[in-house]
Amino acid sequence: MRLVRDRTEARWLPSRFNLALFRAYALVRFHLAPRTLSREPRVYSLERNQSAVEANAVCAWYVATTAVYLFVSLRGLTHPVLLAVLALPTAAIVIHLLAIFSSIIGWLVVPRRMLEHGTGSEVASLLLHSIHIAVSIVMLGQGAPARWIAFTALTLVAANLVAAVMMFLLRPSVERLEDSYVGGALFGE
Amino acid sequence: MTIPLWAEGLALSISCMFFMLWGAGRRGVMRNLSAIIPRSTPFANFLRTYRVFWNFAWTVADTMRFRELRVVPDWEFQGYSHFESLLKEPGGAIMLTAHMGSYDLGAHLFTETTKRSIVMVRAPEIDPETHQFERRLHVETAGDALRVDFNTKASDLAFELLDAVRSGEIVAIQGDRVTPGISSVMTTLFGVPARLPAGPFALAMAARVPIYPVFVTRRGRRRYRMITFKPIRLERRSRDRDEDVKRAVDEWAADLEQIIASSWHQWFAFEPFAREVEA
Repeated sequence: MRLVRDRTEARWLPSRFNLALFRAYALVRFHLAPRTLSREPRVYSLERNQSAVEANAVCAWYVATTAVYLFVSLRGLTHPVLLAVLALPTAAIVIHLLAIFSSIIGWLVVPRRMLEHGTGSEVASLLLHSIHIAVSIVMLGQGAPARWIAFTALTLVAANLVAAVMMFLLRPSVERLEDSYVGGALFGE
Repeated sequence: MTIPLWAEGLALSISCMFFMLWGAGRRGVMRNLSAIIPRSTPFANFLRTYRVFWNFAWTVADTMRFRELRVVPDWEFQGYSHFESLLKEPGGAIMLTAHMGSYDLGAHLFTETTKRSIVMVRAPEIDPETHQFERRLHVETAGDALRVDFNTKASDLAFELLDAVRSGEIVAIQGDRVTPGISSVMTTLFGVPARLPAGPFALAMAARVPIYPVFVTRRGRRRYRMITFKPIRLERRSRDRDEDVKRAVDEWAADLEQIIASSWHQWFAFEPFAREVEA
């Protein structure tokens, strides 16, 4: 368990984020954040996926792009207004089912020992990202708006790759920075 | 536990729709809400019930994540001065809590970040297999500073808990629900006569230790708040022991009412809390 006490800027420590783009953004915000102590004690956990903004943004992006892809793929089958209304909830259910499907795959392929370290979730996530990239590549050949959405999705993937390389190079200094924050006195001392 | 974590919110939101089909639980929460928020409409309470289920799903997911992966959420404190005095109690103390937020996670964090040890008293699951599963899980994950005891009968744990609290340990008990076989005291909750457990108060009186009302509420994704209220001290003010206990129970009921009124979406009471509410 890596916990930080009372330092409000600790919420921007990169390890609290998952995707490299968000980690890079967090690192910038961390350096800009004022160094203050919280009024009431706080405990910040240095774990991935602590950010609601990141998780919700990624999830919303997946649902929205899937809705557009569904709309474009099923255009002509029914009335466009009806399709536009149904596309969003259908996309949410599709993502939900794909998440369960990918988690089953992750559970099947990852050894039990590694599952206990959360690797299954990462494998499942990787599988979903791969499906998304593959569908986006296919959608590049479609008309607007799917082409533009697919182009944006692939640009984001490329930007995330660049950020990942950058964060990999900065890794030793980021680790040192985070280690200097971890710990603090126990409560009641 | 292997679902992509960014999809967790979506998965829980969709899964909770199926939980709404659980008639008894849904009706229980809706009836409680009609007492907590008197002028609310059944439709509004139906939507609020979804929010209760949704929060419940999140707290279960966070607790399981902690148990399986040792991942803790962020924590903030309210009423820290009371929490500090709980930690500095020279002897034992009683932490009285409710079925709110993630009390399991709260107890684990407490033992990880303080030097005090806790004995957590839990009501057993009705289903024997679920009870065995719970017991095994607690043995595997509790650690040295946290012990979990299951309260099967009113008299079963009394001496053990008295020993624990007298030897300086903190005993954590849930005091918002009366299960069959547990002694209770009549008080008023949201203007309705309701029964609350008498055990924690009898224990505090016997051991002469204070009761600290402590609640753990969920504030957002992986973010919890530990709220500590002013301690309740059971003092013998009269010759009538029951009257002294009643005074303390009323004080507890007032704290409970205050926290439920502000965090009704975190109160996981799936049965009506009083007969009048049930009717």
